Amino acid sequence: MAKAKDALLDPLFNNNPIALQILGICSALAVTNKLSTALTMTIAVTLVTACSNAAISAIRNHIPNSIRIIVQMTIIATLVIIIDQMLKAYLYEMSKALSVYVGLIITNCIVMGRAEAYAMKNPVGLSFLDGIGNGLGYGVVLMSVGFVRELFGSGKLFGVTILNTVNDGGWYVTNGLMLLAPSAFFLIGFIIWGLRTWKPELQE
Amino acid sequence: MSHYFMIFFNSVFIDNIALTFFLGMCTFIAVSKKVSTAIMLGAAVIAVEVITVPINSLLYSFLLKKGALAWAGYPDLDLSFLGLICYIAVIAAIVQILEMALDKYMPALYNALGIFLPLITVNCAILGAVLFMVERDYNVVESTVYGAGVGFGFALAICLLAGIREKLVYCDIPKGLQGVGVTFIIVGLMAMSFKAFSGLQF
Amino acid sequence: MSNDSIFKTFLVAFLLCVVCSVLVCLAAIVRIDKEAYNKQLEIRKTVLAAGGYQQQIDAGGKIDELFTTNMELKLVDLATGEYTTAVDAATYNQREAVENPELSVGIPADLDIAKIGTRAKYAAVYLDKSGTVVLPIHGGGMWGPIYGYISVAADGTTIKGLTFYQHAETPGLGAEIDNPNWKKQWPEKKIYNSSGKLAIKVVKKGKYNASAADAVSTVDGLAGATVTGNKVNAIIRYWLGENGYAPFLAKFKAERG
Repeated sequence: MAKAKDALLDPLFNNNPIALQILGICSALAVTNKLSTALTMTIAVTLVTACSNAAISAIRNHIPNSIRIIVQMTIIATLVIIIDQMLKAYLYEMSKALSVYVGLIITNCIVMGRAEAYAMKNPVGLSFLDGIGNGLGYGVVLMSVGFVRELFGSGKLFGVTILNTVNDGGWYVTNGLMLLAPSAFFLIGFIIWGLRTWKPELQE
Repeated sequence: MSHYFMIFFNSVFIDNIALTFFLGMCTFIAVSKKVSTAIMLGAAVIAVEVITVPINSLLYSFLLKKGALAWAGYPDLDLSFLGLICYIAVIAAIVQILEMALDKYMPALYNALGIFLPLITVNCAILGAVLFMVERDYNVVESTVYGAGVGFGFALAICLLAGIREKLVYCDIPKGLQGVGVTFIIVGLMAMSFKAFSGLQF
Repeated sequence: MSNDSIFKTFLVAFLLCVVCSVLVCLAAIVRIDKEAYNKQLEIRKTVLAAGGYQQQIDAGGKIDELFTTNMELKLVDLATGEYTTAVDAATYNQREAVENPELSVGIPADLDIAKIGTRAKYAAVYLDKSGTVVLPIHGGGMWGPIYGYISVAADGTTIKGLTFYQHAETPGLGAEIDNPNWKKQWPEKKIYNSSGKLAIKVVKKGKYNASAADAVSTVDGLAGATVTGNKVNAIIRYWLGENGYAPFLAKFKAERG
């Protein structure tokens, strides 16, 4: 039981994939200028990581070593395509907003990294929980960045106006930097700083 | 000619794959501690981009695109949903072949680049460039130029970052910010300076 | 059996391929049906929004119902400005026609201000019962192509509305072209001036002067999105110009106005 809890909760802060393992930053940051896209991306990545972990773990004793990487890639790619197709079918607006970034989950190092480091060695149940945990750990960072960027960049949260912006006749002059790529880097830098000040044992 | 130059210039500076699209970040941050290794990785990325983007472009326009199979008698078939799996397979295969070919014919270069090649398979900069190529519907020549531009842009960015990080050793940085934390902030500043290019008009 | 034997390697690879391909194909079948409908719905919604039905949509009006009762599809030959029946309107797809050399025509570089390249010969326009016409427009944006519809009143010069349905502009800056507060500037603007010259333009944010003589044909840009403003300006001016809908609008006015 303790092991299951660790597998699920450890990646949230103590071993956060983005802040500490430096995995999966690639596709993530470009989708954080709105909370709704960040949330969809979190759900998609969590699903893919959990399912690919479970699937790879289930057949881990039968994967020939020589084609290990390509087997993992195929499983991950299949799951990502299914998610991509489902988004296009049921959440059409959202699939347009995420454009190529859904496809890039394939090369999201979190998915590949957890498959290689965890699922190849652990039973199905634990691997599944580890996948969920890492997906959520990724989501925590994504949502915090998305929260700041959308609130100060567009004056909204989940598309609901919080700060009335000048473009809508209000008082808040939006911070354009928050909507552009660099702000995400600053925010992640500060998140890492905060996390490591809070838990000094994580410092390099 | 100017059209190709524009694609190249755009992909190096204005749409820099690392600093505007955040792609290839994991390797970008992990392998940028020293300029010498950064140059090697940059060279490997350029090589892989120049080969894989046009190959995937051919694959897309002759097999996957809607109506692309007209030559085989299936004018209405749209296989573009198979794109992702095909592109990643091509990338993985090309990287593998490149690795074996280098090992056999250019062992010196292989020894220098060796460890970076497998890393490139999961470098989103490669798959990202392919997906952008598909989205923008580049032909073979355009996609070769685009691939070269993206690779060069990535190499440029990672060398610049490595240069800055080498100098950073002499700085007194707060404990929690050391290492990855400050690197993110530096990348943010670099991305801002690259934004200056986006005002360019052609 | 050893995991690394050649037979087992091939067996695993084969089984994996079969399972994965079945799953992917199933997902694709579900998507293909839904996506076609989603795309059609999106176009209908945009056409209605541009045609001035935004309030009815917000009030929960059925899009398909509103569309079929009010809008009539017609094809226009852009070169002559006449309606055409050269191809079947119901199955004609203007965006796909660009790929077909028989249905498209290259735009001379000096006229191609909106960076379109090749455009379809025929435009799929929608005639609204109220007498306005909704015209498809598109062109290059800052990060990717912009697609939308603009509606023009029966006098052939008064804009009734403008709505985009696809763009990749920067969220919060250029993407404010979707902001209703910006879009509401467009209705009642005049496309052509009193001597019939193309006059409509988008200016840099703050350069709009309500008392200027050409204010009736000027739209204020977006804060922090000068590039997007310029691109929209180019798209509007291309499509409403001589190489775009000008010949059609002249005939439309003669017929209806």
